[in-house]
Amino acid sequence: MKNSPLTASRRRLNKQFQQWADQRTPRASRIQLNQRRIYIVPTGSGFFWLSMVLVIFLVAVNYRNSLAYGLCFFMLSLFLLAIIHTWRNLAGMTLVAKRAEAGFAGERIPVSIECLSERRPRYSIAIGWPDTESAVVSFDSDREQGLLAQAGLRGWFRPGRLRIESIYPLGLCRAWSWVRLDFHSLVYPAPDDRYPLPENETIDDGERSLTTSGFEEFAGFRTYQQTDTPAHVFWKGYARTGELLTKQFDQPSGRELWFSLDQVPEGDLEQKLSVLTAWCLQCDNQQYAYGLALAGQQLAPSTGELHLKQCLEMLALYKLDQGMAGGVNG
Amino acid sequence: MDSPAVSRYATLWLLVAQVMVALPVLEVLPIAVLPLLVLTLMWRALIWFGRGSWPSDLLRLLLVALSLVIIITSSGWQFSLELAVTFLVTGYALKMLEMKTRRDALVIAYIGFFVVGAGVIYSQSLMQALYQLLCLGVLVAAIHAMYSPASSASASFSIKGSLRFTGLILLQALPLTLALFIFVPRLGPLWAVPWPEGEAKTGLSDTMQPGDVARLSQSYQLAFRAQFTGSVPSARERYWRTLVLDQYDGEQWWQSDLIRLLNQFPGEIDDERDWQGRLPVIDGWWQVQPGQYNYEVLLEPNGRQWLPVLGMAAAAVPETTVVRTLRLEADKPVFERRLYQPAQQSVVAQTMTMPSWLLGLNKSLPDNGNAQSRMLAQQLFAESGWDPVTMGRRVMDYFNQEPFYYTLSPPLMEQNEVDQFLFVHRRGFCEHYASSFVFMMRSVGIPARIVTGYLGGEYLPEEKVIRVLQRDAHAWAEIWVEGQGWIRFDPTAAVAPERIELGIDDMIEQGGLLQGQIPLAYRLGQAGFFKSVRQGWERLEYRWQKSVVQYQQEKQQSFMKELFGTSSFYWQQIGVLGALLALFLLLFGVFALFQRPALNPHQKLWLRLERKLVARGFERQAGEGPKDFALRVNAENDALGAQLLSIVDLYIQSAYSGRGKVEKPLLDQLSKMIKQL
Repeated sequence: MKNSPLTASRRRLNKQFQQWADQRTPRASRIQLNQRRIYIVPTGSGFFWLSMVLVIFLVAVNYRNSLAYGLCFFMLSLFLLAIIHTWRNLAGMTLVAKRAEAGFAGERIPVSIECLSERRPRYSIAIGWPDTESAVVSFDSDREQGLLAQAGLRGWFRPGRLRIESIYPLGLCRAWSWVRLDFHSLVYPAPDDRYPLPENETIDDGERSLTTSGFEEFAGFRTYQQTDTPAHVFWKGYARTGELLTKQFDQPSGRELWFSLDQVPEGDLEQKLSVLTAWCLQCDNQQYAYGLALAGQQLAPSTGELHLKQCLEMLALYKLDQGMAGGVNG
Repeated sequence: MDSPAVSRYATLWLLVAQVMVALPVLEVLPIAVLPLLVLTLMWRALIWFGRGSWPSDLLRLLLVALSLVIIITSSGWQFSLELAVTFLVTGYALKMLEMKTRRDALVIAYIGFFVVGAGVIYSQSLMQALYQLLCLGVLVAAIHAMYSPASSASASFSIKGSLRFTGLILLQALPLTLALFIFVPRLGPLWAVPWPEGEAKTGLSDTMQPGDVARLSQSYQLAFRAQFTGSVPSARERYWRTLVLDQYDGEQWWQSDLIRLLNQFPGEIDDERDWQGRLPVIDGWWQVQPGQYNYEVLLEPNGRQWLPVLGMAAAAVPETTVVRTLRLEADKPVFERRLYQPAQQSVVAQTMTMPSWLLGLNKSLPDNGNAQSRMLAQQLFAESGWDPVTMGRRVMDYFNQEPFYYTLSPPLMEQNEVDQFLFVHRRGFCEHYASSFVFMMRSVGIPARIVTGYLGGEYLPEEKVIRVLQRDAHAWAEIWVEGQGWIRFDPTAAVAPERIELGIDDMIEQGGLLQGQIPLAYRLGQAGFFKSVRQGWERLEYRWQKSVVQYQQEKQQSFMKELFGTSSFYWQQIGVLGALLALFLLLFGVFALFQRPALNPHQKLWLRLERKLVARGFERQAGEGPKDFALRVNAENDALGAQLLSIVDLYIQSAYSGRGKVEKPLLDQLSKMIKQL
């Protein structure tokens, strides 16, 4: 089915339409649906309705029946009005990209979209990404809707076209719009744990040697902070004293891990970045101090969530060229 | 592509619609189907209340088979309108029992629209139209409920929501429908269609009992149209002769046919040639002369063979025969609209001949019954000096001078109806007068017969067309006078001359038919509020029929001419006009709905101020607040700036005072200051 010529040509047509639609309507983080964005065509039942109008017209003609003419014209009027009502159900509403969680390339990322009703109740509007998640919403005041969006390549998060669709009130016409929302969040490279952490390699300056022993010496206790991993909590002491303490490990400078692209044996830039991403996550998981050295940018070895975030952001944005910025389905 | 489930509200609407759309067509359904319909309806209602379970596939199959058997055995394989309606209504009911998804529900609603369409074929009365509009409303509400949000928690999405939407869209659709109705060109029928079974029988019948014609006067159905070239007969000449009723058994009158006559007069009638002929002129019957009127008749299908002709039919035309009773008969019953042109010839009255058997037939009466009437006839005949024509006038005078009344709703007369009519009730419709007239004539030996047909019709001067409706049906009498032929007497003219002068519609319009000529006691019986309501409704119904139901080709053409004042108005132009109108309404709708956000009064004033300042060369930058803007202007132009600063103060005051509500004096002051600037 997927490879039949019909669907292929249809997909091509669809793609051309999408390109044309994209040119008309730029990406933004706040988009109001207006006549430039809303498309409307009769649905299957709309076409059936029109054929019913034709049949009743023929009945009216052959029976010379004025009320049948009236019925036929009434149904035609309903169809015409349905176009306006359906269109109006979408027209004017505004979509705002509220926030998106950071995620890795290829993942489904929870996002939050605010639908502004703009002073008119909206009914039965399907909103979402057709290949991930859609929701049918009705609202008469502003409403925030959580959805899953497919993340494309690393870089700025540019989810694909969000489809807003409605056949309310009579199901005779389908009004829809594609909007490309800008979320101003990042997509990190997809982690690739093909390679273990590099061992005993020195980086360019040769002064600092890196160790990958993964073994650190115990250095003492400090009071527990919320960001501390449960693995390092001194549970035995807690059982005895009721006081939460976190074990601290000494991280001598000689044992810091420095990651760079050269350490990855093979692959193109994207694959190498994926491997580095996996290493960072691994180190963070095991509480190793790690640093990143990419061409022209460095992050000194450290631990913690903020550090991880900085590293991932650096990896996400490294040598980001415009062509790649959009993500796969954007 | 799973279709979503149907909400309970949508189901409820569909159940209501099921009953409503079926009611007007209930009487054409085979009786055996009715229990099935009631059963399925109740079953579905039980499911709706949560008390029943869905029928199994097998059971549904059985129900379908059962209804098919019932439908086919009761209406046969012959395709008829009734069969189609039965299929639609049963289909609706059975589909309700397997309605799970929106798609199913939609199919049901669409069937409902077709049932409404079938209903209007059976009746086009005003009441029916209003009722069907209500049905359409329920169907629209049902469809709306299908597409409404499924959550029933919010009241605005429930029944009330659908009702409000339906009301709104009906109000919007009606003007559009009206425009389309007026302007979309009417076409002639494209092919023959099966007519409703009862419908073919409305119209004249070849037997007549008192009351039959009165019943026809309720029918607004078109009987035929006649288009004239040359002169057009005046209202009192428009006697459309259709049937000749010369057989009488004491209760009812009927029309002779050859087979009956051959039995009745064996040996006297040899063959068909004595009764009906195909030739333009038949030797020995009568001679013809050129007639006065040249016209074509477009007869609506009625399943009968007789053809209305203005006056006496003198000669046959192709595919018809002329009958010796001076009427025209088609070779085959008319099941499709038929056009024919009666010969432009009339009979020379003096040359009519009368064979003895026909003379005998037109004098025959049952041996007894109606004794009083016979005596009255004898008396009147004596008073008129035994002259047939004087006798005819004398009977007319009798009707005119005695208190006789012309009414659409005559009392029921059973035995000795002529006596009952002449001496007891004295209220009747045209057939009462015609039949008692003929009875009295025959009782004194004057050959006489009843002629039925139509009297009058509405004249459309633009097309020179006379439109005759079933309600124009009329009965009158003819008597035979040796040497003068058949002479027409219309006893109704003696009682209600306005029936002849004005036609039946204007009589009803003026209330002349029911009021005024009716005895006081009878009038009191129907007096009061209800009667005036009924009469008002009748008048309304008449207007409805005349302006809406009869709005077909000629009516539309003449209306268009009236509207645009030219006689060269072509269909294409009307089509274009209609299309333009529809387009205009559509565009208007779209633009009317594309609304800009409403501005507050002070915002409007501010925009006016900005326009004024642009004219002076100061334009507010994007992102520049009013205050900053005023300060910038002030820096360049002291005088203007000072004024502007005070305006801005006022503006800020009005924009942020109270939530949205700006005090009027403040606004007035602001507006005044902006004007002075």
